[in-house]
Amino acid sequence: MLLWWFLRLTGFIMLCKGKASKCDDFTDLDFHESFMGTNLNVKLLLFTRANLDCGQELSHLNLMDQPLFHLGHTTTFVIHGYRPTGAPPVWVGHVVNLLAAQGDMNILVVDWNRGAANLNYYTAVANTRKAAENITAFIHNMQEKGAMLSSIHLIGVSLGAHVAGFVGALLKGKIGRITALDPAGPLFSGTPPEERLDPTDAQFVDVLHTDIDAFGYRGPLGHIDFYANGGADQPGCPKTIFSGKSYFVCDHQRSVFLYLCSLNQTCNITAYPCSSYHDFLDGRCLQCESFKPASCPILGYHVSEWRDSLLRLGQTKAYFSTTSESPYCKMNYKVDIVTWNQYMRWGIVIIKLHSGRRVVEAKIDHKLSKFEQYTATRLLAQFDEDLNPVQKITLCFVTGNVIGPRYKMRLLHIRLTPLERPDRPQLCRYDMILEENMEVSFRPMACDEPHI
Amino acid sequence: MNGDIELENFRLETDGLFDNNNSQNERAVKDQITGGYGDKSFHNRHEAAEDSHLLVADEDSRVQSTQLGSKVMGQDSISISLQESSLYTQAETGRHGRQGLLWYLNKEVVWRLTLWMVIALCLLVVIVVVIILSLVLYSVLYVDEDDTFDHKSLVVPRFYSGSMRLNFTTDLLSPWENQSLALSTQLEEKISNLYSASPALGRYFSSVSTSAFRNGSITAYYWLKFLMPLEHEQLVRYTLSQEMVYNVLYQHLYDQEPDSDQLLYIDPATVYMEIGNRTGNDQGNLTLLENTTQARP
Repeated sequence: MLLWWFLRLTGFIMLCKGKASKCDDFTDLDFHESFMGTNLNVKLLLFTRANLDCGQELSHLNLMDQPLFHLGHTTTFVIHGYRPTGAPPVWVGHVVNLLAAQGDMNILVVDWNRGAANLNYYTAVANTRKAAENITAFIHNMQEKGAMLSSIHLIGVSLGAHVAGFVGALLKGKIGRITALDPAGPLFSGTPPEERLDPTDAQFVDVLHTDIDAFGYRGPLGHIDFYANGGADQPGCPKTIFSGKSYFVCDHQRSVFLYLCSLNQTCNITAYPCSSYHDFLDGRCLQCESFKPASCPILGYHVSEWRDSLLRLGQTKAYFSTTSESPYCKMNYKVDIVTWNQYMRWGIVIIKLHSGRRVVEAKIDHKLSKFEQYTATRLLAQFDEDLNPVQKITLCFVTGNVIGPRYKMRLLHIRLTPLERPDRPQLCRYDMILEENMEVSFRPMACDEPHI
Repeated sequence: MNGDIELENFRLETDGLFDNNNSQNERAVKDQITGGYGDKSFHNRHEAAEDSHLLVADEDSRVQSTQLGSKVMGQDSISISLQESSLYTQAETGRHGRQGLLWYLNKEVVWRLTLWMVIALCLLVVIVVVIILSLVLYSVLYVDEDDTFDHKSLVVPRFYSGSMRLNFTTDLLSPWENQSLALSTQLEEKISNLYSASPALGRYFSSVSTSAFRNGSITAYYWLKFLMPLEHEQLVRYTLSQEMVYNVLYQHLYDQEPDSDQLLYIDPATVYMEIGNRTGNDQGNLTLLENTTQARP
């Protein structure tokens, strides 16, 4: 017993010692250092499946000295953004683990904290160029040793996205892929393509926007630009300044968490190419004709499967909505309604799906929908949860009139199509009257009509 | 305007005397008018002045310090207007009428509210009440234009026919003819009820005829007759489309619980429907029915 305890203790000490001596950590700066400013120093921390929890700093010149680094594997650089406090990003560990799960690759966490941690944002922006030159020199070195540029993937967050863009531009756009997570907007908005990330910086550039109204970049920057919830305000993020720091960073940071969820693949977020978020909410962009026979593109790491169609299309803007919490997936239904009212009706529709005791609700209230006689009205119903099988559906029609008569909406036909699950049947129901503010429940039927 | 000039005169006087006290001004005008009316006699004038003092007692309390002066003033004004009224002919009374109106309008009725304020307030209330009433009336009297239709306009017939399999245990003892008739009646009632209750199809539904056959299992044939208005292009495409007529029947059967103790359970999956292109009456249906039976093996 005593021996066992002794062995365990020594093992623990050795493990601690081993960690302390062998692992290289992300630069952690204090706030006063960020206040005073530090000189840029780019550290490359290597993570592979063999050392997921223990980063190894890679020498810029003698990269072959590190036995864990395989030039034959794909190399993914993760480049962080502006760090006003100097603390290391919270997501580094997650992104490394999840990337390693996608394949055996070299994951290089670019630590340019000494350039990014500065209260003066201008200094950090100026340092992006220098950091980019540093990384480019390293990639040149890799190339000389026999690495393929097309097997390099740069993931840049915020300012890091533009760093990746500069690296790509310095390598004449021959890099395989750049992923930009909410690329920084301030000081980059309205600049020409050579002063920011643009689609020519890599063979494939995918961008995720989550904070276009504050720290993010508004316009499209890649071959595909995903706009989460329209790109501006994210659900679950504080609306007032009283929430402190998260009021500023929540929207911006959401891009990283959405990307992590796409790596995690607990659920796939389908994005719908569209001209605007409003059009998407109106249900005008649910077909994804240009990708046939493939489905609509999926957000995140695996969008590379749509690469050829996206390159053919030039630049694509894609929209989707999320829930307020991880894994952020919404279940979208396309709702087609045909009415027979002689006169036009305007209103919002509330749809509830029931499965057992569970109920999810979708309120289609971003604007008043128009219902015209014998004309199909298409709506997009977004549910926070995916309930299956749907045993009961409840509909409610609301015009918002406080006084005046209670109008009725007379449905000939309603059809709900689960967009993300084409394998499931469409749900139909015929001949119904929806009285204003009154809920009507029914058992949906599968839409196929074999007996006519 | 003579009245105005007069008023101004008074004001000038009162201004000088009472430091531009408006209530005094008003009182002076009132007093003057009280005295000014032709039917008031001389010996009434003190009473009148005193009456008005009583009426405006609150004012008096406010201007107690100048009460004496005001009394004098009041008497003065009466004497002036009396002089005037004795001088002018009856044609001039209109002027006094206007003056009277002004006085009435400026009279304080309730708690510093003068008459014109009260009138304006009343008007406002009336307008609001009228608006609310009309809205309420509109909601109450509102007739949904989709609820009303003209039976007489429905003249063009449209037919649908089809079959369904019945889950019905036959009584082997009683003759099949009797059972068939009972079954048909029951089925007709069921179909008729469901189509009549349909919000969209109810008004167009005319009749149904059915016939049940034992043919291995029991199969029932049915014929549906709808009546449409002369303008029915859209109607046929949407409301009275085959898809719609079929699905109204289907979803009604679909909502039934299979294990309910209903005598007549129909599996919705066995319902078949086609558009009948023949026009005719129930008699015609029967002939068709016979033809079909003969045609079937």
